[in-house]
Amino acid sequence: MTGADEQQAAPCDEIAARFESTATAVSQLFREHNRMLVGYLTTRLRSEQEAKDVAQEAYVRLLQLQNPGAPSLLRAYLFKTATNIAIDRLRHRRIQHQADVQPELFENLTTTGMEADDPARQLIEREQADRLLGYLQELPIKCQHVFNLHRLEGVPQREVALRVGVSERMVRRYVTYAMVYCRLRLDGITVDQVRRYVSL
Amino acid sequence: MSKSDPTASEIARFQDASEWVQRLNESNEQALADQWMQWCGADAGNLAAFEQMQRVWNAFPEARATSLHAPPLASRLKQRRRPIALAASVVLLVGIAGWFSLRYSDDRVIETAVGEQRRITLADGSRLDLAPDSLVSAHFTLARRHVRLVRGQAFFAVAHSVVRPFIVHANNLTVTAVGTEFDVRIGPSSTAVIVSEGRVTVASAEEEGSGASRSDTEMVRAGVGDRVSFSKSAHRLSVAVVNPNVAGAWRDGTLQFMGEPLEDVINAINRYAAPPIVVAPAFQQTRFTGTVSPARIGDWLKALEQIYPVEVVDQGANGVLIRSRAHGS
Repeated sequence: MTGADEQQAAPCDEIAARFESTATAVSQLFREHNRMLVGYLTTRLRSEQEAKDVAQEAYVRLLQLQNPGAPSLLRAYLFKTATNIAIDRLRHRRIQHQADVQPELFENLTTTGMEADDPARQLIEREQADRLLGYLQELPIKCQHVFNLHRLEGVPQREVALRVGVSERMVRRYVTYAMVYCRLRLDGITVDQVRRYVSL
Repeated sequence: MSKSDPTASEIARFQDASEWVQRLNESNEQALADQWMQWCGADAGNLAAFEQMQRVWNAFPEARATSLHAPPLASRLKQRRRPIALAASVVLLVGIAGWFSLRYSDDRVIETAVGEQRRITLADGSRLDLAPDSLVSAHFTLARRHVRLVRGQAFFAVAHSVVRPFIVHANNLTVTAVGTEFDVRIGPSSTAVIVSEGRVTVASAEEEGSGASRSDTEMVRAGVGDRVSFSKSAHRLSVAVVNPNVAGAWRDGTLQFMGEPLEDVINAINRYAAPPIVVAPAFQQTRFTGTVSPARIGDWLKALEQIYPVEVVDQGANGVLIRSRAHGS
């Protein structure tokens, strides 16, 4: 007997029970792993809000599963589903990018309460970006160079390593140093103090 | 003053967290995600540290190195500006034309020598800082204020006038402003505009009224912190986000570059001192990001040897040669 036949033959309360167990499993997953999932997705999407949207979409897809399976498998499935949705969105975003160049044309489409379009928020983000770029200039020149290539120009670490002539490990170390340095500087810690706390 | 000093273990946690941000950013592998989740589960503070480092990572501006094709916008802008300019010209021509042209005409050519920097105030009150070894000419008409940057670099602080646009021509670029501050630099491989205040329209246009086909004209509105450049090899406009302070920083003696070809960087530095620095062709397109002080070029050249596989050879009166390190041995 095939699985499909089995399913059709199943009594209504069994289907309801399965649905119930999926819902229970998904809500448990949400409670225990949502923050992690959003953190994970934010790395891909560079936007916390969009990460939350994608996470939500992934939960909805999970709820449609017939059988939740073991918790660890379900968790892996959640992350995989969410990653795929995120990748789709990134692809879509690339296409939309050209539209962003002419915002006036799309005014009516985009002013639907999207946080990214809030001018006050944009200003804050811009100011913070300016501060960070300023902090970068306090770093050793080689560290600046590596960080700029990787983060600002989007060159993969392996290629940065080849271009600059250091190991990939070293590239990661430079980028880590730059990030921690900027994080501490954002906290208002002075250049001299930060240099005492962290070294390359 | 610091809020609270971080402990060594907090810093170590930040370091681990930023390594994770980088790893996850570079790979979509499920196994890696699993390892990361284990790390998150190992300590309650880990995920929080991860979120903090991620915010730092995300706060940097996106490198928008996208090329632009915006004919719809171009035509919209033209439609919008033309009637205003036309109406304005008519009004001006009636009655006050004579007075106006006497009061506001400006026709001149200004050139600076190597190492010489000069500030010029034009007839309309616009200010222009001309970098060393640069050449600029001004030609004001009733309806337009034309300035041509023939060579080098200049920072413009444009006096506001909606009816009389201020237009800077630099190689293949045309920058149109009504009252803003921006920097224009001509380099061997690209011409770049950085806006430090207000908005300008940058077009990769041919000469006004030259009758050239406009089909391949690109146009973009650039705001504070936008760097629009026209690359000679790609033959098109691209936009990147930079720190707006970069625009005029050279006026205070610091040249700032973001991902620019060494050829252009060296060209800008060479305007400050003779004899010149020459880059071997193999490194001309190598990207450089950083700050250079013309007063301490020697230090910078030494640093270059650390960043790139190059050696810097002093040839006395013939200048300095930057070439492959393998070359010398």
